[in-house]
Amino acid sequence: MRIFSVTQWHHFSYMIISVALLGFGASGAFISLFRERLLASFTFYYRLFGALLAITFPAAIFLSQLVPFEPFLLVWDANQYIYLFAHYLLLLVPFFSGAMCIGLLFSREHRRIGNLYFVNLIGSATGTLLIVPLMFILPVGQLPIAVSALSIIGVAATYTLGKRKEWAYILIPLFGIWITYSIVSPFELNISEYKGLSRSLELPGARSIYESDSPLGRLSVVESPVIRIAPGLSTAFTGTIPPQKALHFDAASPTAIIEWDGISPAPEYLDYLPEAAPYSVLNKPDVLIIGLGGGRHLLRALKHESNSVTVIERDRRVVNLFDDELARFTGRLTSLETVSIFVTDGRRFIKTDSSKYDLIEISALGSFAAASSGVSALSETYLFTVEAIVDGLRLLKPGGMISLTAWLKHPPRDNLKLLATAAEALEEEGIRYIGRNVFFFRGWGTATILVKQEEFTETEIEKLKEFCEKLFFDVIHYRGINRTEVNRYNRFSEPVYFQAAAEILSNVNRRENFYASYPFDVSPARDGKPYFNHLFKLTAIPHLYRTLGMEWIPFIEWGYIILFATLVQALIASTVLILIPLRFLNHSTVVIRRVRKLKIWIYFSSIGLAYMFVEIVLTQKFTLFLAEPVYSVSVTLAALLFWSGMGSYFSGEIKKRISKAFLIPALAAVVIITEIALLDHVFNAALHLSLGWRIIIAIVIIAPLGFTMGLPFPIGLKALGKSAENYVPWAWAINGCASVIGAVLAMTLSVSFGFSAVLLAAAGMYIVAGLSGLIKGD
Amino acid sequence: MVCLRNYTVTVVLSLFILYGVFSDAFSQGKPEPEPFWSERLAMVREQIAARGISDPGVLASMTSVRRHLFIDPSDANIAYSDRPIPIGHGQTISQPFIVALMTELLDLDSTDVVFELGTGSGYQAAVLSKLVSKVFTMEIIEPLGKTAADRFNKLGYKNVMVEVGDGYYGLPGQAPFDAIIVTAAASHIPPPLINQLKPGGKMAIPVGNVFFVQNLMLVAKDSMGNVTTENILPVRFVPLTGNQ
Repeated sequence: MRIFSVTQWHHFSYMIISVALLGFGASGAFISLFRERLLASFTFYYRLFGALLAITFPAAIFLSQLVPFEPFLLVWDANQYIYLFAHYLLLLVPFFSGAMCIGLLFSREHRRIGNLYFVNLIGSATGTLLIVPLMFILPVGQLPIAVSALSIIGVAATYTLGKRKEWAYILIPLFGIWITYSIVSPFELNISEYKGLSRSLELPGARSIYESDSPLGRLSVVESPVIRIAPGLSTAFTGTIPPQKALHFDAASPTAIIEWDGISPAPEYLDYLPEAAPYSVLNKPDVLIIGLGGGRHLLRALKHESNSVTVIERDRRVVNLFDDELARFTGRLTSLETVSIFVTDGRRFIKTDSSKYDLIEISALGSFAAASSGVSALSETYLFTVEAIVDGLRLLKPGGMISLTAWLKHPPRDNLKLLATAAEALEEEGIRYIGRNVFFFRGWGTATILVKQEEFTETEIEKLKEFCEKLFFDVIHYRGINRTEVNRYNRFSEPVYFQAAAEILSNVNRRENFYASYPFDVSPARDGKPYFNHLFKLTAIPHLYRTLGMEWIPFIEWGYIILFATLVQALIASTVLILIPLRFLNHSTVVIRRVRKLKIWIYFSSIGLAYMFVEIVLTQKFTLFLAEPVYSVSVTLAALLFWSGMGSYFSGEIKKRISKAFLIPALAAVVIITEIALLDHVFNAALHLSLGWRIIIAIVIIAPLGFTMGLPFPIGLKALGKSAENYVPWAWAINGCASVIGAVLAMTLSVSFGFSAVLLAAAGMYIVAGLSGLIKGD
Repeated sequence: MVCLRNYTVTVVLSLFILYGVFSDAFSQGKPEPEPFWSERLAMVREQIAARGISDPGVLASMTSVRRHLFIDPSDANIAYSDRPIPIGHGQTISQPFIVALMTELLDLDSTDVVFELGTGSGYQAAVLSKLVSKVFTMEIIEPLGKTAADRFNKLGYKNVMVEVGDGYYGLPGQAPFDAIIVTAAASHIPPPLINQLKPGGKMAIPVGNVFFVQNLMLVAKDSMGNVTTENILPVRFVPLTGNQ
């Protein structure tokens, strides 16, 4: 995922990896077909596939870099489908090989499945934790080599147990050489020429002066004398932009790091950006900035002699850049007395901080290319939810304001969603005439929303209007705005923003009607469905297609389309992988009736889907609670896998105590429903605690979930092994395929219906799995 | 009404085809070679005129400029397709309709002098060159700029001047310009270019990513030097109503 996030867009990587993960399903199908032969020479095949994993994992990554796949050309270029398929094939091989090792072991040792599955899950949990420090140590391109070394250990271990121990003495040094090679070998990723980093490096005199990989992504800095980035700069600006360096995150479009000597006044152009508006009203404010980025907001706050500036940055490397490598270039602005920098999650800071501010700046100005193509549609963000704005409003001093800026997109979307988010946050704060607390304006490229706890005063409105007038920005909304004032400098054929803002800021009914009728999803994101960038509306497709035909392609929200494509391809591949073995199993030694096959299919697909539903939702929900950018996901996953391992270990004991088999999956359902009711309350009560305590609480919360969810698979597989052991690999295939579909489906449902609905669906699946045991007809 | 409109379109198309053939033939001193002639006509008819471009000069220019000569020969078969085409270095040659629309928006006159920021393949400059007296174009990526310059020499475009370098500051020595076209994506409108635009002049900027132009921005400078921008959607977008 990390590699493809750097070289391509991360949702295409999701599409590719999901097919690769179907290697698990493919391994089950393969073992089903050749079970007798494979198990007859178990050790040989185990070693063979272990060795194949070691060789093909880095080889596949290396070869995939040579395939000239360009996702955006899929619309026009049929060759791109061939390249995409080549990616699939390349990555399928290592995953298939690895899954073969596990599948063979499960098939042969199904009587000891509880213990085996326990070891498998504990290994997965350990891997989830260990990969984090490894990602700090090694460049992302080298990781596959290091990871493949582990499979060499796996193969070597089989020799230490067998007769030919000398092979272990050969393989273990090989492991050492492989690890050393992974650290020293130069392996350059082939980044798409259309990504921001590649384009920056094409500029005259460009050179990369910094590059760092971490679990948060690749951070790169490029210098060139012709880098000039000023998002939404007013056309009234006639001066020059000082030298800049380009800061790229995951090789996407850059943000500017601005040169400043620390003595001279900060560059003038900063006051010609829309984000400067609050300073026309506020005098020497206390400022909170979420996201240091290239330092633009901080430098402007200092330019206006802010009393204090608090900056929240989630990536320590960005702060280190300002403190060390680029300290001279940036005038050591992060070390100034009035500046406080915190490396933490912005949302948690807003929710738990007790200080008060005159200005809170939250910028939604990410990469324009990413914003315009909608590739970030599925990234969860807890900064642009109604609850986040409510938290922000509560941190404001009297007269203080929140400033939110985002790119203009056509037709209008993001900014309207942001406005709706602010509107509903104000309503939640008990404000009746919400339109009086909002000042909304736009330039040619961006729009800015200013929100206050109190109504904007006449004086404030006059000053802000003056700011807009001077910089040729168009006002969209303020208390008492007249239609003749809008759409003057940056004209649309209709005053679309003014009209939309009037609907959103009027009353609940008109707003809801507007959400329902607008072709994009501009209803606000909430913590239970934190997808601010999700703007795609499935129901609008017929309308868009009818009115625009193929011309609608530029308006596609790619993230959602890719998710659907991934789901469709996973469904097709899974159907093939599950149905093919059945044809051959019908001729095998133990043949079971059709109803029994249906029961196996329902049971293993339900628990596979449900497990992934819970896993995906938990990782996204705990991102807010743990609020530790690097470790949140791995701690959550490791805890879930560990407790599932424990569940598997004790599955034999539990089975003895619960005679009714259908109750076992139902246990997981009960725990899930209980946690849906409790989770948000626990989060709210404990979010202020230290990270250590929050990790302990997370582990405790996840324990009953993981434990009960770890029971159904080994218990089901053991029962199947007793009566029809040749169907064990088939069950493994079903479970593998369901896991892939489950992951994609969980995302699709989360985006549309929210986390609670997905958890509820997971509980339902466990109940279905339990009920499948009651179907008569064995 | 419909018949009248069809008749008008037919007459206009016939005129600009004749104009295009002869103007190109005269400008290059030899008759139009025929490869891709029918594709080019189909492109103009189906992708450009059908989408509402009606300026005869623009239609003629789009008919006469041989788009397939501005891309890699291996891509010649897709030269007249309704799509952008990669030209290397992370750049593309825009969809034909976008080129036509930007050209039409500039409302050009035969005596105009135009500046283009971002030469790319040179196709946009070639289209402009048929309509104005001079086109100055600057490309920051050296290999692209050199290839485009060679291409113009070879094809006999005498009124296109290519410079390789940073076009952000325009060409003060040749300014002011009647029109400016910015084909390279930018986070902002370069202030020096606004300065180099004549009062009454226009500047067109496509907004979007390298493959998909979502809207075009038309910057206009009035006689007093005041600047306004206009957002132009390349497609007619009809928002849903509450009943749909």
